[in-house]
Amino acid sequence: MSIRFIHTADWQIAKVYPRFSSELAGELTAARLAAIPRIASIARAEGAAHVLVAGDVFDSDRLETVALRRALEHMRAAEDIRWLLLPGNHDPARAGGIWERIARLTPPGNVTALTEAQPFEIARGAVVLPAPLVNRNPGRDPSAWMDDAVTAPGVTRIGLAHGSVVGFGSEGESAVGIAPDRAKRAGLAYLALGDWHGLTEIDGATWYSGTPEPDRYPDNEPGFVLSVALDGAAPARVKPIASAAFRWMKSTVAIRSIADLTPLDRQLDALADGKRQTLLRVTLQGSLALDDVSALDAWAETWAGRLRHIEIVRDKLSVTPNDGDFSRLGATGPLAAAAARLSAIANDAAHPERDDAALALLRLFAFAEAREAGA
Amino acid sequence: MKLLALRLAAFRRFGDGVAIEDFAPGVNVLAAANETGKSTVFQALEAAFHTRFAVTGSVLDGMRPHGGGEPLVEVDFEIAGARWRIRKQFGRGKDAVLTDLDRQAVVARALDAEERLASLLQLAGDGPGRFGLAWVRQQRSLRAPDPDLDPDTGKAKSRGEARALSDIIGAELEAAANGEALSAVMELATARLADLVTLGRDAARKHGPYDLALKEQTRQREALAQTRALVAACEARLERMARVSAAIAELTDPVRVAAELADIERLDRATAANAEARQQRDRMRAEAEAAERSAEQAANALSERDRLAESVEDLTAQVARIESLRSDIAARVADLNADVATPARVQRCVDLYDAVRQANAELMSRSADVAFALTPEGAARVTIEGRPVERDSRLSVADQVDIAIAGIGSIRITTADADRATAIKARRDAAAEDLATEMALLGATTLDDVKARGLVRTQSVEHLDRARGRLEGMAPSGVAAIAARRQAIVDKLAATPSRDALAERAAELQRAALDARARRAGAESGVEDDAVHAKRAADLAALRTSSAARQKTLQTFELELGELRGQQASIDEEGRAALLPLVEGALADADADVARLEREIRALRMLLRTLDDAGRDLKERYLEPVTAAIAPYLAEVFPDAGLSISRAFGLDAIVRGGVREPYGTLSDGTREQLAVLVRLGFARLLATRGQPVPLILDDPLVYADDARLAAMCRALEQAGLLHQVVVMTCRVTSFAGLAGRRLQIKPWRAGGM
Repeated sequence: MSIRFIHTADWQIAKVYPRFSSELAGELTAARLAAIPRIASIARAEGAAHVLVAGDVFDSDRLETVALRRALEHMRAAEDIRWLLLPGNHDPARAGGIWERIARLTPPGNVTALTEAQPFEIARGAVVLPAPLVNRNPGRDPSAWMDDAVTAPGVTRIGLAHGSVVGFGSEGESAVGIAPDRAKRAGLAYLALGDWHGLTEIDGATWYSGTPEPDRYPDNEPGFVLSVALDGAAPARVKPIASAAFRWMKSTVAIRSIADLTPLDRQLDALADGKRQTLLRVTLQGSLALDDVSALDAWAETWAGRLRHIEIVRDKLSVTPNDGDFSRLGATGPLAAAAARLSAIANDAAHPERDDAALALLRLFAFAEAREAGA
Repeated sequence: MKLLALRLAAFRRFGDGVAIEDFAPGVNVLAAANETGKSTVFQALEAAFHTRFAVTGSVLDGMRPHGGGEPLVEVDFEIAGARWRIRKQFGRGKDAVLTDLDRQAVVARALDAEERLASLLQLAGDGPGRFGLAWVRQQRSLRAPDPDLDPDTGKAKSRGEARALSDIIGAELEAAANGEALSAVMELATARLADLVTLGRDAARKHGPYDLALKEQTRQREALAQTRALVAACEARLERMARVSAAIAELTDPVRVAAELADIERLDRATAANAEARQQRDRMRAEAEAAERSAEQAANALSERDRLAESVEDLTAQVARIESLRSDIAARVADLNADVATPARVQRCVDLYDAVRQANAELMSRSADVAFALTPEGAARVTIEGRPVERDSRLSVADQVDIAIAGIGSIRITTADADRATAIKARRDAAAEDLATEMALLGATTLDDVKARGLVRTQSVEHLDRARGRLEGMAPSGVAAIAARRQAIVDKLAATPSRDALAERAAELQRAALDARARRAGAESGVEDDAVHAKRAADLAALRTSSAARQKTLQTFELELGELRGQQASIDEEGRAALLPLVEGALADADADVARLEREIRALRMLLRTLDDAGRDLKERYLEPVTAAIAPYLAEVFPDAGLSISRAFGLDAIVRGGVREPYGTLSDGTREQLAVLVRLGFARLLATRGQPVPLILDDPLVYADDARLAAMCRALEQAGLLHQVVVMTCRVTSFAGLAGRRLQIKPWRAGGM
């Protein structure tokens, strides 16, 4: 028996992005929905008739109904694809919960919500053993039942679960533990996991597909779906396929002058057209002179125009006026004296008011400049 | 500048002209009693230097004497070795004349003279400038020596005094420029801070960015609290739905429900079966009772028949007894009817007997008693009516007796009432005869016999009466009635089945009753115990109740679940609970805004604090010349004291022994002395910077004690070495110790201009 399907997870449809401008937040939310037709295209290209979604299809079980309808309509549109949806910790199958609502909405025939832990035949000789979550934290391994699940001899068993593989280290966001050797114990040809947003192989037969559309500046590798081919007793053949619309990048730069940003410039230039779909967070460490701060502002503005979004974390960046800055305040005057005092505090790592002093210093230079401009 | 001479006329107190001609370059003392015009002298000096000659209105009026006239002032003075005279005529004929005394030439008049004078005195603007620093009016010495305070009103006014000091000091200090830059930056920082907070009060400025951010933060906090409450409600509802669903599942558990139904059915069946047995038993009971009743009736019928038969016998016997009684009565009646011893006859016998006895008694009572005592021989011879007489006997004679003596004859004895006695005798005899007849008839020989016969008869009658009574009792309604009754019974008997028939039927029914009783007993044994039945009925009822209760609970739960579903659906439709991350994000933004602004506020405050510190250093340097100028005088009067001077050269406080004493809290004397010392300092500063002005004190140090006054005098003498000092005082002796020229006010005749 050979079967090919797409393994994906953590769609988190209708996730909101309050930290971004409403325009970008809207695009990011829309991108999660748009992942559905993209995945359908990938499935067609891969010759896969089934898409197994390993939990957290929806971001919350409190979503407004229209959000559910939209997702269902996108799946209905891909009528040649069979969508198998597993409830996860974001959208558990609890009484009165989201899956009951979906059932009331009469979902399209090509969509199946696997809300019961019982074998589900997806093709002759292939069953999916789903481990739906019925609440956020069931306090037990929901995949445990797979060990004892009875299927006809010779049937290919595919596990579908949502949670953190116990002892794997990179625990997902849910508190649900999955035995690391479940595939072996339950005789699974493949265990499709969700919850961990980055693409991760636990062992040859156990994978996290990660989320198809990144939703944060990543610590892992999101933005893929897995094309899985099972053929009898042969090991699973698993192929990651990029599926993301947005690229989320983060970068930390140690900086002493604006020139230290040049390598990052080159890296960003290399994105070519991808720039427009890139979100970048740059964390700056080190210190800059006052003049370079405005240069930094200009740099940020330039890249804000080229990228979809840029944010610069300056918490760890200190601004140090240089001699030129100080000389503008007069050699011996009280302004120079005040600047020296503030600068001393700002550069004293142990001083509790050092951040305030740094800001006060910037203001002092700004006011002095304004006065000169006015005078 | 040094004063050389002062002349005035028609000026306030002085209607006539007066002059002070001999000012010394050092200390001058104008000591004079009150009201001798010292203050007028002071004012005249001010008028000469600082009042424009063309002045009108209240200033002019203020200068005019009571008696009227046009004020005239003339001052000779020396500047940088050159001697000058300024003469000002105020009011009518107003004019100003500046004369170069060295050349004895008028150099300028009117406005030109004023301008030239100002230029000579290095005065810019209208105010008294540096002269104001050193010229202290009467009663003003108590006030803190703040330059640029209008001496008339005590209010700040640009008099060019501070400027004069600044000019002197600033010329030396490049820091002055920095001071300006500092002020400007501080102003900008303060303005920025004032945008955010209300200065002074530690509060956000209303409608300012910080205020708005705080309000936004509050709004977002509330929104978050609301949304969280909504989410919590959703969660609680979903939780409840899960619990209710589980409860419903348990209530509708097929195994449990089936078991309960089976229980109910089993109990139901058993109860129904038993109910049938009970019915059968009840039927048997009724049948047995009916059979018994029939048997009893049959037995009754038999005994009734027997009773009737018995009645017939009784009645027959009764009739027989009655007949016998009746014949007995008839016999007795016949006997009685035959009996002669009727009560009347017996009574007649008794009555007759009584009549005889009564007659005898009467006769006796009427009788003569005849006693016989006879010899035995004689007895034989005596007879009465032929019957011998007993020898010793007695005889009663009722009527007459004839005693015959044999042998002798007879003796008649007749009683007195013999006739009556005869009659009685006759009646007695008749009665006796009747009695005898009757008694004979009755066969009685004695009256007792008679009575016995009467008694017998009475008894017979009584017997008869009793018999009759018995008869009456036996048949009160007569024998016929009894007979009729008997006949009726006989007839009834005749109509009744035969005794045998009845007996047979009774026996038959008795057997039937026995059978029925046996059947009943059988039925009874088929019925279970009441307690068992009752318990099972109770069990069944309890089971049914609990089943119904469960049904009801189920309905309630299903209803609740429906309601919860509805509520949840509506919340889901609105999707408000899903907004939680957005609201959290909005609050995070608001928090960040507030934090940013608070950081800005802290930074601005820190900047201002730092600038202020830096400024204080500058100020110290800036004021240093002033304090240095005052220092020698201060040391004279207040050793070991320091002064705190404001940036505007005002005196803020004195610092003694490390304690800062604000000027206002000091005693009048100390304040006055300090004020004079500061003026001395100002004058010294001006003198050492090449712009000396005379120090003029109008009636100073009125509060000083002797020691202080002496010290002050030493200070004044010291000052006199540097510049001219003019002390005007009414306390002649107090300043006696002050070395210096004693000025004289002398009459003066004003000449033409």
